[in-house]
Amino acid sequence: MAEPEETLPEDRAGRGTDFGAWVAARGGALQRFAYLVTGNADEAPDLVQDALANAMPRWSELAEAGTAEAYVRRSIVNGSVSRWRKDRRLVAVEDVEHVVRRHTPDATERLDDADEAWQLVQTLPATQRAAVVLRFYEDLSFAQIALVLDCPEATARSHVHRALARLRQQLAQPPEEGASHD
Amino acid sequence: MTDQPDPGFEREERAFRAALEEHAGDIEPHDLAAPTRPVRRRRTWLAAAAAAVVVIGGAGITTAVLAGGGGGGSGTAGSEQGSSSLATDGAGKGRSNLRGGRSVAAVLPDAASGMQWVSRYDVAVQVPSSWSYAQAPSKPECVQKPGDTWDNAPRHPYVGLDPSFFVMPMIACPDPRPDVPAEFVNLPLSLWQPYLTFARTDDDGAGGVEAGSAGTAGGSTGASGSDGSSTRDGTWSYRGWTLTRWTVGGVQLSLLTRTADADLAARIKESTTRFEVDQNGCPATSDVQAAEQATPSSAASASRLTPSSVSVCQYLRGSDGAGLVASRRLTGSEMGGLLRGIAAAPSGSGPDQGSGCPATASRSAIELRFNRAGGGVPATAYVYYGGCDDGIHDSDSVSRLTSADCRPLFAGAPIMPDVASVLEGVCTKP
Repeated sequence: MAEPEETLPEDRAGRGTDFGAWVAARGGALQRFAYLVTGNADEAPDLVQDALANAMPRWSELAEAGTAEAYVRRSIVNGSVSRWRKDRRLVAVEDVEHVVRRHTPDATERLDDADEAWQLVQTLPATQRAAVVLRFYEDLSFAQIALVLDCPEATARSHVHRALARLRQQLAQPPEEGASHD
Repeated sequence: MTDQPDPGFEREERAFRAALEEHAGDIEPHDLAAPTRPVRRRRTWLAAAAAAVVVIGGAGITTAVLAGGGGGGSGTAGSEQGSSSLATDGAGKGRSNLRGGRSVAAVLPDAASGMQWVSRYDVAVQVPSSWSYAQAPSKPECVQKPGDTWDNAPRHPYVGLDPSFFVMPMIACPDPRPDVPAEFVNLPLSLWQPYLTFARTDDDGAGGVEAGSAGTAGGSTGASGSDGSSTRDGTWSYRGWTLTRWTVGGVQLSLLTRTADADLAARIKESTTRFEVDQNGCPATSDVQAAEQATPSSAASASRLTPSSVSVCQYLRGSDGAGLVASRRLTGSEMGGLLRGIAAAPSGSGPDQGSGCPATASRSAIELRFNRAGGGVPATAYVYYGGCDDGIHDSDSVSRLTSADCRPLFAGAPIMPDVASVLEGVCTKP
C-alpha cells in the first residue's frame, strides 16, 4: 500500500484552496484524465462532475490533508471501472466505423509506435489503463499511482509493466494479413 | 516522477507518452461548475445513448426469420411491492395476485419434477435441473486471443450469470461472420450450448441496458441494432438451433435450444412467472438496493438468530424497480459457517478501501434474510462491501467483514463479487 505521506504534487493537492477555485483550475486537466482513462469524450465531463460532487461534502478535510486530487482521480477511476463493466460491449453508433476500422487495418499499413500504443491503451482493463495514464501522461511515481488507485505499489508497478510488455509484444509482431474469425 | 524507467522498455514508454499526449487533445474540456450539493445526478446520458448504441456484431444483419412476438409486456418491473411483510420457507407458497393485468406470484411454487427455478429481477423461469450457471462467452472476434474466450465457453447448458460484475475489455469487434444471423452466437457452431439469459430492457439508468451474456451467445439483448431487429421478441432458427426471445415486465429472456427440443423450449417459456419473493426467499426489491446505505428494520441481531435457512439476496444498487440480480439459499453446514462467522466478527465496520473511502461504492449489496422454521417475517441484515462503512449491518449493530462471515456469501454462483480490491483476501480467496 502507498505510504501515507505520499501525496500528489503540491499544486494539485488542494491545500488551502477554495473548492470553486480548485475546480476552475483543475477541471480541464481532470477531464483530459477522465477521457484518457475512459476513451469517451462524452462521458469524461460526467465522470469528473460526479467525482467533484462526491468530493464536495468533504472538501475541507481533503484540502487540509492535501489529498483532493488523489481522491477525485480515484473517484474518476472507480466511476470508469463501473461504467466499463456495465457498458463493455456497447459502443456508440458514431464510434462504430472508427472502431471497426481501427481493428481491421490495411495489411499494407504499418502503424507507428504511438498508434499501436493508443490502440493497446483502449483495450486495457480500466484500472490498468488508469495506471498507464497516471504513469506516462501524469508522470506520477508508482507510489503516487498506488495512492490514486488505492492499491499496493507493487500492483501499480505490475499494471504498468504488463502494459509495457504487451506493447512490446505487439510492436514486435509483423503486420497481419487481415482479420480471420475461424 | 521519482522512479526510474522500466529498463529495456524505453521504446514502449516513448510510445505510450506520445500516444497519450497526442490524444489528450482529443477532448475539448467543458467549463465545470463546482457542485453545490452532493447529489448523485441521474445519468441521463445512458438513456439518450440507448437509442444510438449498437452491440457490435449485431448491426446490419437481417437474415433471421421473425416468427412472432413473445410474451410482450412493456411495463417496468414492479417496484411497489413491499418486501418486509412477505413470509418465506413455505408460507404462502404459490399465492399470487394481479398487477397490471399480469399474474405475480407472492412466492414461487415448487418447480416441476426435473426442473429448477432460476430468477433475476422479478422474473423466474423453470429450466432443467442439470443446467448450471456460467458466464456466457464473449465474442471471439472481440478479443485479441480468440482461443482464450473459446476456452472459457461453457461446455454445458447454462443460465447466464449477470454480466454486470464481469470485467471485460470494451474493445472493438469487427463485423460478424455473414453466414450467422445476428441474433445468434458468433461462436463456432461446435461450441454452441443451450442457454437462458435475462436482460433488463427498461433503461432507467440503473440496471439499464445490458448487452451481457445474451449479447454474445444469443444476440444483442437490450440494445438496439441499427435496424431495431436485435432486441425484438421472436423466434429464429439456424442450423438445428432455435433462439426464442420474450419479454415479461421490463425483462427480456433469451433461450437457445436445439430445434429438436421444441417441447422443452415451450415448457421453459410457459413457466415464466413474475414474483415478489423468489425460490430462494429473496424479494424482487429491497431497501439495500438504494444508492445510499440503508439500515434494516429488523430488530434481531443476526448473531443471535437460529434460522432454518439464510437467503443471500444480491441487488444492483441504484436500481429503480426490481433490483435482484442473484440469490442463493444457505442451509446446513454452509449456513452454520456463515452464522459462526457473523458471531465471531469484531464489532464495527470495515475493511474499507484504504485511507479515505472511495467515492464510488460497489455496484451491488446483499440482503441476508434469516428465515424461521415456522415461517413469518424473516430477520434481515444488509451487507455492504467495496466502499465506506463496509460490514454486516443489523438494525442495531455492525460487524466487520471477515473471511469467515463474507466468503460464504460469495462461495457459489450466482452471487458474484464486483469490487475486487476489498473482497480479495476477505470475501474471496486471494
